Amino acid sequence: MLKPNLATPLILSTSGFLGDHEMLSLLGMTKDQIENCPGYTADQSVYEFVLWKLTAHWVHTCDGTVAQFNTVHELYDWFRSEEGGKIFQTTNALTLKLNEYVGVHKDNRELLMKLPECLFLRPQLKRLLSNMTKEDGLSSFHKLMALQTLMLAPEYWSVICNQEGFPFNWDELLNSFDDGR
Amino acid sequence: MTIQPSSEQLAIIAQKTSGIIEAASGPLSIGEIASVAGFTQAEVSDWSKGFITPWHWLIVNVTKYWMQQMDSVESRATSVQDWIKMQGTEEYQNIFMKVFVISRKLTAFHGEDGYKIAELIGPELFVQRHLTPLLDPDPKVAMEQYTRVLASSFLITGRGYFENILSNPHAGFPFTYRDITSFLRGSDAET
Repeated sequence: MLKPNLATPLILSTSGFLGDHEMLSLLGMTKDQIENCPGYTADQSVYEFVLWKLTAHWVHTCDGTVAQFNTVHELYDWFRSEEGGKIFQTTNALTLKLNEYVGVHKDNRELLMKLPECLFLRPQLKRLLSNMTKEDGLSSFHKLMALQTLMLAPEYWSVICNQEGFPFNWDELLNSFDDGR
Repeated sequence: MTIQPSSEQLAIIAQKTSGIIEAASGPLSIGEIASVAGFTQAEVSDWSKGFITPWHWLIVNVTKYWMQQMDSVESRATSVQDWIKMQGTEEYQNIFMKVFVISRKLTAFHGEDGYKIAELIGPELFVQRHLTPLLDPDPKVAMEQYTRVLASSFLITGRGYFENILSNPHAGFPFTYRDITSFLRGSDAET
């Protein structure tokens, strides 16, 4: 059984695409165990399957979490939380890695199409924004984009915002997303 | 102190190797780097002394080159609104994406040693030094300005995706891609 919490940091730490033997050794799994995972197809390398499977898992996790929210403010809160930040960063890192893989192995572009449809949380975001006026939708969407930029690299942005000469600090910026609640 | 290429040589190296760096899944060999950059292996070997591998030397220097280009374009902005309009130009977006994609290769290799990269490249290039003096002294106004700059940056990295999703009037969003770019940058900002 592929365990996402154990396998994710392993695959994110790899540089380049690993062969089957290296991947199985890294995961501590046998080829039989991989072949028995739901979704595996015989023409896939272990690396390709594991990368796709983990990306799909985390995309699904994001979607399932956001599906419980009723307002964009709950989404803002989730992005700023430790758990939400980690899930979002992990999903993003794996999606970028899968994009990189597909960029090299162009015959495998269908891997992206096989992912659950919630890149940038599309179905949930659409649900949360669809009843808004155009003006409110634009305002919420631009705040979401800004917040996602911040939460993809909070260590970096907190240094920027806390530097001398900035008219606000990191905490104040994060709290500003509560305005208008 | 190792010999380093001249700024003209670095510009050639960056221009010639950026495409392959962006597409590469793993480190290029010294032979591949020399061949693509159009210099000899001996030159690349000399320049990359002190680095873990020639690949590390290459991505540090190519990232630095594009960050300097970005810094140069950013230095022309005279207001936050001007900055946001600049983010809508092809020139800026091309450079921004080079920095975004190539610098990620650095973090993949260096992890927690990222601060060393900042030292090698120049810490001043990491702090948006030309934006800081343009922000309004009133913190509330400055945060609104900054939020808009951040959102506009996100729109650059996800441009293809947003164009596809939001340009479809039946996608279910109360606005289109054109609406969001106009909202952030002004209607004539996409050039």
